[in-house]
Amino acid sequence: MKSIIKLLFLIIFGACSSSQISRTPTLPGSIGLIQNCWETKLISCIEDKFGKANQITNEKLIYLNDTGNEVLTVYRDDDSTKIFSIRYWLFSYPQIDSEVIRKQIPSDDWQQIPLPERVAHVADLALANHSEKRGAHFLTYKLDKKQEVRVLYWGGHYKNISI
Amino acid sequence: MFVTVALLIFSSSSFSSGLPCGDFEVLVSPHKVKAYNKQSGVKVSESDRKAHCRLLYPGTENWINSFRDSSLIDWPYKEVFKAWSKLEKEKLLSLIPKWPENFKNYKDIVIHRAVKSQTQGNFGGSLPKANAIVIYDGFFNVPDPFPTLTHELAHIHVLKLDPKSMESMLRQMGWDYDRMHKPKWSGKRLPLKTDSPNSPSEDLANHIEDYLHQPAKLKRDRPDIFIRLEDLLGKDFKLKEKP
Repeated sequence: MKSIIKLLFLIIFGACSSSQISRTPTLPGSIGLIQNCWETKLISCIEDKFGKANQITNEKLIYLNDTGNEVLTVYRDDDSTKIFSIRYWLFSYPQIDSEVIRKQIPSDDWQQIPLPERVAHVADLALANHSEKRGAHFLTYKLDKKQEVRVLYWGGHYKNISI
Repeated sequence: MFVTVALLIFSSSSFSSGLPCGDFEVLVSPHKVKAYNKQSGVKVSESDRKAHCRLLYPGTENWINSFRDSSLIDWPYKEVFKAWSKLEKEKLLSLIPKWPENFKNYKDIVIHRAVKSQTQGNFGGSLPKANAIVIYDGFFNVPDPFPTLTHELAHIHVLKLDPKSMESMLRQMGWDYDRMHKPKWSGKRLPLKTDSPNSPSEDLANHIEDYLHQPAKLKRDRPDIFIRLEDLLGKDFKLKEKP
């Protein structure tokens, strides 16, 4: 009986505390949630969805996973309530490929734009996947059979991305 | 009677022609192995070892069939490709056993041979997502081409590492990432090599090259980066003195 009470206490306490602290985004549903927030451009939208960030500066809000690694970074206009750009690290989720992202962020204007080579003796054959309407972009490589996506971006410019 | 004679002829002809050893294998003749004790204490009894083929450079089984005489499809630079000579292949294979295990054990790498790079003074190139390396004539004319080979494989390897750890290390190396997501060489640190500020990938490949080939110098000049590389690549990521 005591252990049941303990368990109930832990569940209730856990539920209360998790509403106060970070609820670091989990895949794949969070891609759509982040997209919705990007369209509102409101920091408060991100905080409503994912709780308080683990690290907050004038420039950005950072959400960490259980092992202390950065998962989501929300850049803002200096110290304001408006989102400037977002970066969502997908490297730990190899199952999230370009098709999954296009399904999570549907748009009729997704396009692949070859990026210029940065170093003469290395050929990346990198492709920026970009949707102007949804403000999202990510990098893939022409020769990558898996079409793996390591980072998903909103805002900034697709020509800038390097990972 | 006929069967016995036929078997004798077969075995005698196969013995005279030797085992079908490959280009980079050596034939080890039949010999007796004397009884001995392994370091673990296990006793090995005396035995007769049959004739067999052994790799000329141990640990190169994943690399022997890597050489390509053809052009590299998708290579974006207008360069002339050519066939490998046996001596050139052997030069490369002789280096591979010195690599740490994870480099040596790479599978499905292809190595193409081209005459000259469009970039002056460049002896190697890579097409990372095709697991392809390009080796130019100049590679065979320098006293120590090994760092070049390491550098090109490093370009392939960095795509398999956690980009978050790499970005964190790149910031320490002198790169800035702003809210536009563009990596910029900050100039806060001296570049490791003249082409390091060209791209994060180039800078990382330069660091991995020096981590393997000039570890003492890297540790002395950039102890903070050396520790980060040790974490990223593992403490066993070292060249082997006796492969």
